[in-house]
Amino acid sequence: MSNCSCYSAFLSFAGVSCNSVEKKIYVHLNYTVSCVRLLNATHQIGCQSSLSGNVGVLHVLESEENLDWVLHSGPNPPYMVILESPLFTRSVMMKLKNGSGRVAGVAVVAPNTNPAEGFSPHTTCPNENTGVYSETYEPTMANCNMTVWNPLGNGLSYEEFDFPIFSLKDDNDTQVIRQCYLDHNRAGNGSTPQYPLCAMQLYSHMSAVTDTATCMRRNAINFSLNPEMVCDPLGDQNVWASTRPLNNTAKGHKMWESVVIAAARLDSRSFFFDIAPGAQSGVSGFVTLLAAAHALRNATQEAQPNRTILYTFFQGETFDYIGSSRMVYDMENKQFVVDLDNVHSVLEIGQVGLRADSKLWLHTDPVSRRNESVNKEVEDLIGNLRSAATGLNVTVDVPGFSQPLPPSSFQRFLRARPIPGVVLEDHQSAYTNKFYESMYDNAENLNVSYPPNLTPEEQLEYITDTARVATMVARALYRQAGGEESQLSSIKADPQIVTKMLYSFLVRSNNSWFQQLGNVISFLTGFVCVVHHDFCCLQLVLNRNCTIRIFACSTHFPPPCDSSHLVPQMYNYMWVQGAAPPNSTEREGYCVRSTARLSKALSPAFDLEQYTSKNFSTWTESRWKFIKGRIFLVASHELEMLTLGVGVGVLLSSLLVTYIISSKADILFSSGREPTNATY
Amino acid sequence: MSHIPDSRWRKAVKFSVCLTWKQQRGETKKNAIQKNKEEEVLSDCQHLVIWRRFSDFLALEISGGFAFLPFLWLVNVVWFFREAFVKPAYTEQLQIKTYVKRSALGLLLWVAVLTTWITIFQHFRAEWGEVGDYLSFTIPLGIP
Repeated sequence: MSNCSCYSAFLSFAGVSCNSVEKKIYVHLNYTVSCVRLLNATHQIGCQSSLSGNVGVLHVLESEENLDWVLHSGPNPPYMVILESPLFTRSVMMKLKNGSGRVAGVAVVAPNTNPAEGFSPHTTCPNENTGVYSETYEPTMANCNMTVWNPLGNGLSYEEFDFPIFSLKDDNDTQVIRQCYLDHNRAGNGSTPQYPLCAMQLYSHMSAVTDTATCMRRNAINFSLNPEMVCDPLGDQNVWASTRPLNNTAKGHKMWESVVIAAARLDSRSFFFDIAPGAQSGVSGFVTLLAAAHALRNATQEAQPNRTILYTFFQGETFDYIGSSRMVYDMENKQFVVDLDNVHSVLEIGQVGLRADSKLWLHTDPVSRRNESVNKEVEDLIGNLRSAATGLNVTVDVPGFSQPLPPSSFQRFLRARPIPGVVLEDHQSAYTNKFYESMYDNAENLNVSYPPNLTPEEQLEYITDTARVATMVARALYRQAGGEESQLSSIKADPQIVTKMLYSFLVRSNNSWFQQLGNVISFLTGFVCVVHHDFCCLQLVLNRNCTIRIFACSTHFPPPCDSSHLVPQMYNYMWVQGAAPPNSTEREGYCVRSTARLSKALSPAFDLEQYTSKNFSTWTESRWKFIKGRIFLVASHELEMLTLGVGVGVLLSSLLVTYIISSKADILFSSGREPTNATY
Repeated sequence: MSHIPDSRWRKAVKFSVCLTWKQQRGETKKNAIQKNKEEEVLSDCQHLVIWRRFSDFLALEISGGFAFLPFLWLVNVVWFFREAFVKPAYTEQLQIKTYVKRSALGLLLWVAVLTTWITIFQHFRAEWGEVGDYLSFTIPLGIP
């Protein structure tokens, strides 16, 4: 249909342009973001379309009462419902879910600004089954019986829909869709809309089904000619670094090594695939910890504290603590550089971005604190944090009543053994984040805004945060690790670094600062990837904060950093692209030595092949062939049948005519042939 | 047979070949050589030809191990149905009849068994879970 380039050369001088029939019929959607299917040990969640796409007549929903048209009274089911964001609520979606075949799909128009009242598609009690509180460990605190952490959660992300749900931006393309609806589909003054009607077709067919055990079994069956993978386990890599180099080849317990773990979480999610800005839920925490690590870089080199600080960034925490459960599992099985006996205490940085009154809260686990020695250590850590906060215009406090820990990676450490630890958050009880794990948890949620008319370079440098929390965390970690008092005042986090990181992770990652670190291929959305993606950008950032520049490698493609005195079991060596000096365009790359490494963040359930495990995360993501959508006009069913009938009739009549002509061939086409009964 | 009449030469060749067969089977009749019995001999031979072809086909089936294939039985029934039941009787027709009947019976049995199994499998494959997956050659994507 579209290969008419041959003809266009001949016809172009005649003023006729080349047109493809397909382009005249269909308008393709440029921005296709859909919800995908995820599976765990018992359920499947997400959306599914049919193999040939779901077709439905467009209907822009005006109000919740207008649902009656879609579900009962509309004369042309199935309908493709366009929802404006105020109508994207649990009640509307549940009614559509029970639409029994009249709903072909949903497209949600995402607004340009966050809704005022908050929206969280996550559950009210995140990760309730894989935390530390359970029937055996303080059942009164399990299942959010004491504190509901995410009260605005409507649980939409964990529902199963049998139609596709796409997200549209509020731009010109969506206006085309709305206009198509107004032109063709609008029922005016009680009359039913006439054919042809505007329709949309959405493709998001997911290959996996039922649950993780089924899809992993189907992955493994290899009878057919081209075996197909249907799903992938969620997981990626954790990033960790230590202030003192640890021998990476000697796994298991390290004698005389006492480690303070400073943890943060990297990932988040939203209702739709690959949109996971996670500004407050993820970025605020790890940016603070990265800035603290950067602030400590000199103090931990020159005046080394007694204990080693291990900075750990966990991936996949949204989905039942994939990263932290894997690290704890590795520590228990002597697969990690240290083991649980080496861990002295844990400080986790949770959601710290929305500090109302600049107040931060220190959450602890009351159950483990019933033990005297653990309680003493926790009190010490709280004391260190309080004293670090003095003079910084940041207040820290404990919640003041017996409250369980919020969902945090530290809970997985507590499942293994009672370790003293504190989780730093900006909420005393329930979350202050109104957009927890949603597509609205972006820079606007953190009040990170830039004056208008700034170029991207100026925006990169514009200070949006004063980095006081990072300074406090750095000083507290230094004290906790046994460092000297005199060094504390020199530990200061750099607001420039914090600002640049916030800009890079929340606004645009393809900026000059990130480009110095390496090839930034795609924007980091924060969604935990399936195992074959690389999450190397964060490791590079961590490198920069904990590293020493040792020598310049002179070539400009990434070579192995070769020099005779490399010690790969203690350090990790990486090539960094570097910046171009002012009077040249060639970047000067250099090798970087750091203690930052990656560690696998795949749930132990997949290594142990326990796909119905209740202890570990069993989340997998389905595979799909393509995700796309298009709009076109449909004719009525009667017209389609009439066209088909006419075609069949033409076929039969042509066969009849051919038969008649063939049987009378000798009369019609006689041309005086020789008689064929010649004798030999 | 073609509606264009044979040439005399072809007729003569067929007559002599047929006579040889008949001699091989010990059925020579003196008056078969006479001309007015030619058509009788020829029609006899046609039956012999058909019988020859049929027995060759059966031998191929049995020797090649195809004797248990229901599709070949279908071919037997369809191809030789006219010879066995429609044409007027001749000596070899009885044997052809028995074999066609046997093939038809076997075919019906196979069809019944296969239909039943296919219905059951398609209906219950999803419920059988693991067993269903291991029995399947291709598993459809996206549906249980």
